[in-house]
Amino acid sequence: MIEQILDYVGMIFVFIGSLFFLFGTIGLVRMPDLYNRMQASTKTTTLGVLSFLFGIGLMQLQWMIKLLVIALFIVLTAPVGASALARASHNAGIKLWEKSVVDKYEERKK
Amino acid sequence: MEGKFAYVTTLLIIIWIALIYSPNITTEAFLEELVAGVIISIGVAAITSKNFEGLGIKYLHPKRIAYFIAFFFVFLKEMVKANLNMARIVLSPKLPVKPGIVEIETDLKLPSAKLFLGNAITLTPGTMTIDYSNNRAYIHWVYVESTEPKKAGEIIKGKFERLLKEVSS
Repeated sequence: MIEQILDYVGMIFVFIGSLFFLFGTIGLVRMPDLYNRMQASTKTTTLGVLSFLFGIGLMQLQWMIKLLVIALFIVLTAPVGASALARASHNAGIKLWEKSVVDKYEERKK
Repeated sequence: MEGKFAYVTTLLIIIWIALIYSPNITTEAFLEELVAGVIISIGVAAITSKNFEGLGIKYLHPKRIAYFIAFFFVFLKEMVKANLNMARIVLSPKLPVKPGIVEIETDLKLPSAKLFLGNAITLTPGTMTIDYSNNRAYIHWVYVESTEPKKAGEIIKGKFERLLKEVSS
């Protein structure tokens, strides 16, 4: 009985996770420039993966500890990776969208 | 040096046990995995332990742990908010973005505190850390509300910085 309930709750979490992946993908297509696209994909996929892993953990309780460790590493590393990529792209001269309002980082380099 | 090495090795072994453990693993298989894990942990710790800072039991003050847990929950809440916000932006037909890179200042001194602040900023509504130089952070913002460092800083990092200051003080 309790296992079945956990199964269904897990499925809901997996569904929410995949929904966030979908939003991230839509953002990837619709956003105007690299930096905005990275924002859309980094945030949504991080929470998407967390929700996904938690859902799977509820379905298969004996994997829960492993999945939480994996989730911890994703939370710690995904934003660092995003920052590194954004910084590298800016330094490589990839321009912001022409309607961007301000670029203090560019001003600093001058 | 010795202390750091011991801490890193212990931490790696704990993580490894969390990864290999499951209720139906046989003792024999568990021991095999454990031996391999210990050997590799010692090797990794020997190479990397000199790069770590601020390790040690003496840093684990109860007040710090309490503030860190508070930080964690604020962070989770902001993360969910960020995602709903992002979903709203990408799904609305007009695509309401006004992007830009702003500059903010932080009072945090410890590199690890800055790292946590940067990570928290990246995963919260509409902002992404691009670079740090000394006490200035450059933040890409999907919808720029203010270009002034003080005001932007309050909006972007307000709560996080207050909690992290308590953790790292």
